[in-house]
Amino acid sequence: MSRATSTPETMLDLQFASGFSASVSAALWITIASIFGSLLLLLYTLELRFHRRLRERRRASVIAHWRAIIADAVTGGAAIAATPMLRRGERQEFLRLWVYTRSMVEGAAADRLIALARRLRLAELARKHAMGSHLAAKLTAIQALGYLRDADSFAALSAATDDTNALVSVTVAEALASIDATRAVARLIPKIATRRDWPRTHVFKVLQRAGSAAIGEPLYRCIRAAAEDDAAYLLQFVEIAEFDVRDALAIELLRTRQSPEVLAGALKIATGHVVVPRIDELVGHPAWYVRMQAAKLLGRMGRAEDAGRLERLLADEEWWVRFRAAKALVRLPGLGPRSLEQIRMRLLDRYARDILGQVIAEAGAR
Amino acid sequence: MSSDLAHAIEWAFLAYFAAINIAYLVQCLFAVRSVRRYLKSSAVDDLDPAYSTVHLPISLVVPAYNESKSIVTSVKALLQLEYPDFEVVVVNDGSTDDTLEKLISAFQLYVYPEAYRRQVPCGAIRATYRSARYRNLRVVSKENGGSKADACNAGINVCRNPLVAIVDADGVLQRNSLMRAVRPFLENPETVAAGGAIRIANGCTLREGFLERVALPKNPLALMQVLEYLRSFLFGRMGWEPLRAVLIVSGAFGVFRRTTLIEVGGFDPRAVGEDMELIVRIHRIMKQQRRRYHIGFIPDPVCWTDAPETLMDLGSQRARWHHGLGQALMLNRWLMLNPRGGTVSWLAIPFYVVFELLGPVIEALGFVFFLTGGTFGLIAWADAAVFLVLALSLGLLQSVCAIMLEEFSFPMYRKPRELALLYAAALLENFGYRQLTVWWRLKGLARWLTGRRHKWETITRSASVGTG
Repeated sequence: MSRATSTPETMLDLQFASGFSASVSAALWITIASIFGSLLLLLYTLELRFHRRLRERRRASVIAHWRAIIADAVTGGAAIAATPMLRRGERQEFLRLWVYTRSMVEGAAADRLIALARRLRLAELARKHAMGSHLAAKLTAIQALGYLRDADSFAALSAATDDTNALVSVTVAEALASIDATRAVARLIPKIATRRDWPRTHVFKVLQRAGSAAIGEPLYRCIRAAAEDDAAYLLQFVEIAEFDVRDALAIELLRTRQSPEVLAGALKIATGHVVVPRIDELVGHPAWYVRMQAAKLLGRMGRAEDAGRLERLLADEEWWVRFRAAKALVRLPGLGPRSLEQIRMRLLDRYARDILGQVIAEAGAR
Repeated sequence: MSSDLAHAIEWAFLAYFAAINIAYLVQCLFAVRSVRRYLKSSAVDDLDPAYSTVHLPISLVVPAYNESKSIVTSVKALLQLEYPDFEVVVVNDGSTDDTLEKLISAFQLYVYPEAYRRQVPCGAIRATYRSARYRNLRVVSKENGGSKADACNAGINVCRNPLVAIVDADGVLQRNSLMRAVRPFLENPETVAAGGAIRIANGCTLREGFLERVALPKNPLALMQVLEYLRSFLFGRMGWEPLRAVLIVSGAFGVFRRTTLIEVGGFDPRAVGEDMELIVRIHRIMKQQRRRYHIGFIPDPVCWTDAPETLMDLGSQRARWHHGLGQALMLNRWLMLNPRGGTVSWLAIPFYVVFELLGPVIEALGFVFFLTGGTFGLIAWADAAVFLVLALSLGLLQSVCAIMLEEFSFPMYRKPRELALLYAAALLENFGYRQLTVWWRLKGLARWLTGRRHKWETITRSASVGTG
């Protein structure tokens, strides 16, 4: 039979399934294929398990050997110069162990760990892996360079802050902040608003690692110059900055900006140690989150003369504003349980009375 | 003529089998990709044990109805979770046993004038309690609303944090479950809900409400469910995640943005499968409002739950799930093939309708056709046998895929004997268990079509859970 005239029956009419109709033949072949597929997957699963076991065993042996040496280095119990060199198969695991331990210690213990790393030429290994393609190894290596404060890697790592992989670029950012905080923040802070793909947890870590003293000035300048949306985004990170920077920025933004998100952010960063402008206007702002932040700030400021403002906010239409106003009111100096109860009794609004009752009970339980 | 008809039906079944299995295999490939990406991205977090300062505060809402036996242990375990800022809100949904009394005595609860907001509908709240021992524990006592959804809504009204985690009172969480489950919210601000893999606790050893040792259950029904859960969570949900089309976040443990819950009206007390209905509704409302959003899923085993060990309990659960599926799809039918619905409307919903909702009907028809066809001589017995073996082998392939994914992601069953047992279950489930589930799902379908209502369901607990 020619190819042109072949039917589904003939196409599937292989010798093995020749006694069946086309549909049954097809079913038979799919069955064989799926059983074969299942067997392949079974073998692959076994292989995965075998390799995992092997990896875990090797890892356990490396860890058992090097953990004691690392612990000695942390406590200063042994001479680092006498440490044996790393063997080829131990390097990656040691790097992970070193990074893990280094992330938990600071001060003299960290210095001794860095000395151990120098003795074992860890920086060279980390630089090599940091340029590699294996993601987990690359990330560990970048972290190691940061913890080693390896100034020689600063330029090469800086270029990687533009890496499209957010995890790589943000890990690089963390490492740079550890190596040279001042240089790092100058480069990184203008990038934060544009790299919204950087997980915020990591951005906080970068800024924390750089330290509140180093980030204050660049963050202040960057937010002042930023558009409303970027300024609102950046404001969440200002909480790490020093108090005077936070207050100066809050006052500046409350004077000049109109966006509710920026106003709420500015009220949030204000420490309460200085009086901020426009507070009367902000407690009546149309956006509830601005009113809520204003109530919280009044609580932080703790001035007895704000009691009237807070009393009015107790009757706000938004529960959060009422709750925060009640919390702030309870914290005001000079208002004891009796005065608070008197305020509660004279409130005409049921919701205001309820929320103050709740917060008084909450404070009493403390 | 009858032979032609039989052939046509054979081809139809073959086409269905091929379509469903291609769909599952594609899902499996997507799942492998998602798991790989997840494992890579978690590499940094695993290395750095330092807590971040910016974890979003979470309210854990624990709906409880007649949970007297396990509630105290469960709440104590929840209070010990590793997370910087969280509160626990237990909602006692008018239990007829001494659930509330036990809570009052164990945690020194006292009545407290909570000025809660009724932002989503729920039954009347009788009283709110605070613990004198744990500042982050509150208990809400309410009239019985007849459903878990109603209890969850009361919890949503009372809780205060931006994220709300709904946790089953008998669920066993890992100590780091919250740290894990919050990751999708931190990494993507568009995330409105997230879930994680749920595993079967039967056979495991618990101490003080936490998992001490993982093992496979000895009960064969529970063992089959281990496999089903692997298929459903690692393969099903991880496969839909990159397509932004996750349709279910398990009711046993799910985290939601509180504002989203309020915007969509909370859980629907009419819904039998309130967990799925909520997620499908979130998809619908977000799509209708043309908003960007993300529903995340992580493959980490975040919660361990007790599986039913009797045919009656299991049958009732499966019928309820299928009833819930039909109802959730019907209530949100706007999504079906809607031009604005994207992958949810064009892939996920049609998949769930054709392969999940109607799957038992087609599978049952297949069994009936090949058995009666063989009996009455319409088709040869050998042909019928080939199709039955085909169904078996394709089922086996799916299970083997799921076991592979487990090994690839977070292997929990480490002993060679356990792996062998899982493979044995993958084979044996095709003889009886699978047919039973088809029957239970058909019952669920019938209940949905006839509009029967479900209430709180009590499952006989295995001895392993809630002890210690």
